[in-house]
Amino acid sequence: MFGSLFGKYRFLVISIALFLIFDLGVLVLNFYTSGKIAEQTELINSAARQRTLTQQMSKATLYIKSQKLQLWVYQSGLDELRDHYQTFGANLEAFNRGGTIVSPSTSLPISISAVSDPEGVAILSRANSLWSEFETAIDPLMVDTLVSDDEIRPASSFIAANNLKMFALMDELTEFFKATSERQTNFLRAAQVVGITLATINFFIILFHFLGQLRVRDQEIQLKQHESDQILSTINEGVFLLDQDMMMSGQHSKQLQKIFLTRKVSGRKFERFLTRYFPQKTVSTALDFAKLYFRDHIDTALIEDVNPLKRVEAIITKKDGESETKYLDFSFALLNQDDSRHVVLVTVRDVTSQIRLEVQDRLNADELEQQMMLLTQILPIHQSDLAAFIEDSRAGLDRINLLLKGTKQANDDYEITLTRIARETHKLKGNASVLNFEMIAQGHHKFENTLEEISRQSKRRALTGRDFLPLTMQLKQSFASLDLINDVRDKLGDYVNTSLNQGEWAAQANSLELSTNESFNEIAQQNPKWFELLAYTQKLAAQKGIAARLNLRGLNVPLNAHLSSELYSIAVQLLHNSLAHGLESERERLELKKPSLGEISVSISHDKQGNYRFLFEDDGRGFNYERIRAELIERGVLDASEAKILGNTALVRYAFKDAISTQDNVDQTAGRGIGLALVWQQVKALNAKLKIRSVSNEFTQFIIDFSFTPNKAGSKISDVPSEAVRLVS
Amino acid sequence: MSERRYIDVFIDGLIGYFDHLNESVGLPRSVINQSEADQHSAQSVGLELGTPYLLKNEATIGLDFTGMISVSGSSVGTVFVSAPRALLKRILLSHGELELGDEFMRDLVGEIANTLAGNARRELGADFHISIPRVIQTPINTKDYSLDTHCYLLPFRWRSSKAELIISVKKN
Repeated sequence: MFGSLFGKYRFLVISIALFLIFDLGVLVLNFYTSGKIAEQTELINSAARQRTLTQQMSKATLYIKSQKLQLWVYQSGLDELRDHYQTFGANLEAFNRGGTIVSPSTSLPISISAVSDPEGVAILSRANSLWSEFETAIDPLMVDTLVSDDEIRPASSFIAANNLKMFALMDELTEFFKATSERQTNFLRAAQVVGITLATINFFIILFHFLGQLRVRDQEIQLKQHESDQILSTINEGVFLLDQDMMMSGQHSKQLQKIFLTRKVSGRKFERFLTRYFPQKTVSTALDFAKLYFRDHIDTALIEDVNPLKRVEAIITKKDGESETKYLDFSFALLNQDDSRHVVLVTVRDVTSQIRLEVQDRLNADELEQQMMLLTQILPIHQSDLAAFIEDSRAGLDRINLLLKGTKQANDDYEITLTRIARETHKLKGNASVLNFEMIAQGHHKFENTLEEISRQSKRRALTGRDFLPLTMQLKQSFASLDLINDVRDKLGDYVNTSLNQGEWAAQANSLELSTNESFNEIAQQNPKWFELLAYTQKLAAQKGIAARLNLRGLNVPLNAHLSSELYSIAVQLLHNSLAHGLESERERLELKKPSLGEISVSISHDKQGNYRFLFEDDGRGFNYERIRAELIERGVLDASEAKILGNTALVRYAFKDAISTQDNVDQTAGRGIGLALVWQQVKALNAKLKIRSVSNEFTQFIIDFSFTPNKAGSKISDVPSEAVRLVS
Repeated sequence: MSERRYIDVFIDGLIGYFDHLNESVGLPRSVINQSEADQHSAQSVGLELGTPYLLKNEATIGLDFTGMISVSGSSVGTVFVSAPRALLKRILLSHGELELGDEFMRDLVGEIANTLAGNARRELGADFHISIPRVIQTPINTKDYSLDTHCYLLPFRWRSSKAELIISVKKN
């Protein structure tokens, strides 16, 4: 670590070491030179004192001489002379050879070195020479306490003569010491300047070097930051790092903000972040999963399979408070950092479009399958029939919806609504069945089941509006089915226009053993959808195990759309009735000596005065009056005694008014007893007259008389007063 | 989540709101099941649900004041509760309010929507996100909202005043 540190920061360490060396050098030099200067100062002071001592020795000598002449006491002068003489001599000796002297400033003993400089040595040499003469002159005065005139006079004369010489030499020595001190001071100053200059230069080198390095580093960091910012802003995925404490990193991709529609991402707790978008259960599972990445010996490839944040649904609140559902895919990858710590790179992908597309694909597949099924049902149908069917069906569903809307909140009104809806539905179902729209017919059949269930509930308790909710929901489904048929029709466009020509109809009619009396073309042009009944009869007859043939006559008369639609619907209901109750099986017919093939005829005739007759007849078993009577008793409409006295006409009237069916089981075409009631309702709506002729085991005829003026404005049905059902037997 | 369950949650929320209201003013609860229906059907003063019917997504809808809730999750839906002034006035009076201005009515329809949203949050669970209810301008132009082709309109009546619960739901 130190090696790498020294290696990385070698320049810094060397620079700082040099800086310290320079500073320490200057400091040591300063210390040393300061000592020298202090010593030199002592020397200067000592030399200056020598100068003074010279003067004082002269003064003492003159004092002694003067005192002696006047015969006064001179002892103090002698002591002073001796003291100065010894001090001077000792100091001079110390200058010459080094030694200890008393500091003039502190009076403390100090050590000095011998003067070695040649200039100083030369001065001292001259001073020594003169001092030896001083010694010769003064030494006699050092011996005794009494001084003779012979001793003082020569000494005094010598000192007086040489005093100034010695003073000058000591002055010269002082100046020499001063000059030496000044040189040392200058040297110290120069050394300090050099040292500080070097240290300063070193400092600036360090400074500029590191500033340069910092700038380069900053630029590199900025470049990397810029690069990573660019990468993070351009990638199409939400990316961030997750640390061991489950904290989200400061840096993240721009897309992350776009995905979650928030800027509050950096440095957040992962748990709190997830809580905003996912249910608590998902959050806790996700946290447990993310923590697995930080455990030792975990095979990340294996745990990826249990990632709870794969294609997970997130509810994201937009700024306006609206919510948006997104499907997100989180993936986790373990990263090892330089400092051997781990972080997890989390990548978030918005897979909403992909999932929606998959769902759509599935739906499309389902829809396609449904459309293919519809296609097989639609293709054989004449385009105008199909359009009319869709229009009629929508109108029928609209009427049912209006009935629901207009229902008052009362049980009686609910009953009426249920009955009316049942008739509308039965009519719609009949139309759908004829066109082989199994999907629609089954839908209506279920609708009828629901109606019956609600009706049963109404017998047990008072209904509320909520009981009708299943009906409304099925109604919505019926509308959706019609929309689907319409879509398929639109997609098929002209391909649906498969009207059979005369030859084809004849061929088809022949193959089905059907009979028609008019020109196929005429019927096809005027009322083409009647032809659907031919195949429908065959289909229903086969289902019920009987043999039947439908004869169409007089259907080439021009009728308006409404009238045609109503008569057609009546024919469908009566056809159901004939095939369910009227026509016998082949075996029964043979036993009754009847032709095995049952005949059903539908015809329209008129007297050219605007009076029309719609006739529906079959050669079946006729009305089963006993069965109607039993049904009335069973349903509680009449008691046995009332039913017993009822005539056939009255019984038939009941069959047309109430939900009476003589079929034991309900199937898609009969059994609910609604068909005849619906016919009666339609006859009334057309202001027509209904007559019924029925002979047991021979035939049944339904005769509907109405007035109609064709090809005039509006082609209206004339107002003909309705009449009760008249049975002619 | 079936469509039926979804609608039921909002109907139950509505019934709950008016039951609570009835309790506070000392009226009987709503008629919601068979035994209660047998007892109270004739003279019920609770919430009465009318026959639900369909509303084509091509018209303007709504009464005087409307609260709206958006639901997202496996099904996406919008629920409107729309009430006339008369009903809101009755409710305000039941609360002892003397201020009957539009602002109070708007707040009240928002409160009803909020109650429905709260109930839906509890009932539908975490798989659904229920938005904060908003009071919106009426009449509502259905084209402004991403509604299903046909919405359910559930008329209801409280103390002779009629209002509507409109529910649009479609699979996400």
